[in-house]
Amino acid sequence: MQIRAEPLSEAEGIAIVIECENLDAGNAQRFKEQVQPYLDAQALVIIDMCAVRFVDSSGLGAMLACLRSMNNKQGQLKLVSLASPVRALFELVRMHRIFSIYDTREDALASL
Amino acid sequence: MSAIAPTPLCALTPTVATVLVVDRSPESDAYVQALAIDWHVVHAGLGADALRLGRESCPQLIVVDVTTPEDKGFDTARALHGDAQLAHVPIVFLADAENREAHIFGLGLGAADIITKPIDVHVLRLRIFNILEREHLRTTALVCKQELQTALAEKASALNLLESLFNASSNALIVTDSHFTVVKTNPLAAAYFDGSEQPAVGGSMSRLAFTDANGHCIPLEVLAESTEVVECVVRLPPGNTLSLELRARPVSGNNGEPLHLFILHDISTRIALEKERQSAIQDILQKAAELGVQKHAIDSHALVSITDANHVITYVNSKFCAVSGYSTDELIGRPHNMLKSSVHSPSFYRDLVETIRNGQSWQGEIANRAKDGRIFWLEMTIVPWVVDHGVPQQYVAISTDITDRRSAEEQLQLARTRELEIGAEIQGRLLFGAPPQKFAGLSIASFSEPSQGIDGDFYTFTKLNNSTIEVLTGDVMGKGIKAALIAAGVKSAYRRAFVEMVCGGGLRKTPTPSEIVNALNEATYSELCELGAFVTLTLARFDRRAGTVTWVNAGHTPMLVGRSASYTVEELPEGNLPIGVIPNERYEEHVTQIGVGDIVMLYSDGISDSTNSDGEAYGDWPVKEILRLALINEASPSITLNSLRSDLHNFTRATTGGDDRTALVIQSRHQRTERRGHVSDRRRPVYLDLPRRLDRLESLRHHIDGLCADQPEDFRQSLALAAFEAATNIVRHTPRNLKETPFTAVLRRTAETASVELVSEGEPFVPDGTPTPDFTGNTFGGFGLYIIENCVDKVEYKAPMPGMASIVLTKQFPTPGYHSRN
Repeated sequence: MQIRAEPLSEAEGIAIVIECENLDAGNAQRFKEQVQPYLDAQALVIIDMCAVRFVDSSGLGAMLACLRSMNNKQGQLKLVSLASPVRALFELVRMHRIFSIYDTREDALASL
Repeated sequence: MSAIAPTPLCALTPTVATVLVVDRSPESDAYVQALAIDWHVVHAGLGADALRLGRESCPQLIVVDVTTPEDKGFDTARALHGDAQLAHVPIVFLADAENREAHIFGLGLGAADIITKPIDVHVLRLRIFNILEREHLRTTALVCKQELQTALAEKASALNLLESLFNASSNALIVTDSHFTVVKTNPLAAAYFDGSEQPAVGGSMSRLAFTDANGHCIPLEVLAESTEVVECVVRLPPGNTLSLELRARPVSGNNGEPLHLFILHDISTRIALEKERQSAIQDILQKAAELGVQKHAIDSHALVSITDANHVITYVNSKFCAVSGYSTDELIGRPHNMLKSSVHSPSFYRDLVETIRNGQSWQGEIANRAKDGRIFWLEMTIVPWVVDHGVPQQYVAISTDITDRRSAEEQLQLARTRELEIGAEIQGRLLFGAPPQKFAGLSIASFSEPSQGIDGDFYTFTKLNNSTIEVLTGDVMGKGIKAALIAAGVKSAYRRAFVEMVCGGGLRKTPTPSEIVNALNEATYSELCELGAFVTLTLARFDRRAGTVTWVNAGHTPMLVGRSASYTVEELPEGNLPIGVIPNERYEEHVTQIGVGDIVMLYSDGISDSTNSDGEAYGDWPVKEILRLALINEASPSITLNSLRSDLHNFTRATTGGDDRTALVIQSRHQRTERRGHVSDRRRPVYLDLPRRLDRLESLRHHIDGLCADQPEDFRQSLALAAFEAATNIVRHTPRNLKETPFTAVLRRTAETASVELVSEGEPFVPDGTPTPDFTGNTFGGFGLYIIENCVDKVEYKAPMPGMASIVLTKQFPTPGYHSRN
């Protein structure tokens, strides 16, 4: 599991780029562990999923855990650059209503 | 002296006596005057006057004149004498000398004296004086008599009392004369002489023999003279003895003769009790001494602690302190669970407490936490101290420190486990050469379950050329390390024989299986004989191009061949003895045709000999039946093997032990190349053996991508997602014993659909409808099944083989007719 953290220049917060193709049962737990320090430290976290081609229910669960973690401390979590099958999955399980999803990182920042 | 009858005041002799003179005659004044010199005189007339004055004056003497006419004097005298108060007062009559009648009357009335008239005053005075003197003496005598009677009565009463006390005494009392002849006894003492011929009284007291504590005789004279209490033993005439306290007192008899009173107090009971007490004390001292020794022994070996009914510590010995690291003061008064460790479950402590509260002893090994936090192990026995009603009042725990032993045991166990692990690792590397992953036209699956961690079964694959592969599988008689090492030796001998035959003889061609086995037998025979072992094996060579299998069977389980054309299973005959039995056995090879779809199965007798809890053997019939079903269901080798394993497991259940179990399944299949597949290849299922690891499921996605490469990305993604969710489920619910065994995905295509079947062991799973997941994001559950149901068009649950379950996910192509697209 590889993620990359990029501080935002436009606002207080951080962008997390998921650098692998899949977020599934095989790595969801590791992703949660790696991203948790950023969720704890930042008020705004943008997760950039441009590289991700495959997400399964475990991957969704991990995302949902991130969202809950941010909501609990009144922080903001935004997802950007979802590939169409990934977006389809979010819509299938209605998670697109719960997450703030944007096409690009700029759109996400503009919504602040 | 107190009981004297009351005497009237007038009856006491006063200093001056009172004299009542009843005489009113003229001459009376003269003698009254004369009498008044000596006494107090009351002068009264006859009749009522005399009675009244008499009562008032309480005279000591009355003088009545009876010379008066008409007998008035007699009447008065009679009245006075009849008066209760005056009746005893002596009366002196004054009468005429010649009046005989008056004399008789007076004497009849009890006159004290009769004096004739004329009165001679001097005579009268003397007479009165005498009468008064006599009366005084008489009164005194009466009083004395009365006192005497009282004293006599008292004496009689006292004697009576004394006699009663004498008889009723709890001591034996014996009175003797100075010659010790018994004069008197009380009944208790009399009983002492019961065995004597003579009665107690009258005989000699020497019939009782007195001795001191040392058995020396004490003469009666000494006893009689003793002024102190003598403790002695008396032997009674019947022969029995009594312990006594004896006192002697000199007394005197009725006639003043000297007598001896012996007081004998029976102290036998007291002596007996005293003896018992002494013996009990001795006993206790003895036991205390023994206990002291035992306590010392226990204290130097064991940890001792005592708690009250509420498990509060009331005592610990020094060993307990030493081991636990606490001081006595830190432990006393604290609950025993202060030493509790986190090693045991709550139910462990619950059971313990319940046992001892019910008054039963508890015994077991328990881990406690010392003051410095280290765990120490005790082998502990807790004995409840049950006083009454079965409710323990305290608990005594005696423990042995077994920390070192535990630690040694753990080390030993660790070493054993490690040895087994190393053994298993060596075995995995040495004995089981992994089947080639890709060998054109053959699909191979294998499994081996060792019985003791280390195995005597073995197999190895040798690729001879692109179309020929041979497999050697065998079973060394016996189990464990010895069998494993022999198996490794046989494998190595097989390779050496092979190489020697190829190089050594300058052979123009590959040695045949029979040549190899014969060489193997020759090379290993003597060593196997020395080890007292033999080996059964099958060497089977598959020639894909010729479509044959050539095999040699050396005492091994017969090879099975499943014919896909007829769905029949053949058992190919065994022919030869095991390796290492005789040196010159000629091993022969046999050949059979193997067509596409045919399956060859090689297995060790550990499978067919497996027994269930009823002792029934699994047999070879189920093996053949599974092979037959595999043909019918077109099951892949790994599905077939997993089915065999699962079915065998269902049969044996928890039964452990038995022999090693090894099986190999080799299937001939259509050859296809990766680059140039024939169009009909598309119709053949792709069997994919997947490791049971969540992070190794990606190949499933890639294969689905490949299977549907002509379909849009969302189609491929949906099918892959559904398959991935299902595969994740299978991996997550893998039983521990199958973690290392792959499960199988079967990918199929028809003209209209693509499908993925995931096969794993177990009962077919059919969910009760698809649960609706929680879409609010508050919880995350039930999504897997929901995603599966929504990503594909059809979800089926099947039982493709015995002991196997599968889920089939089918998705319709959006545009029918892939031919044109391809």
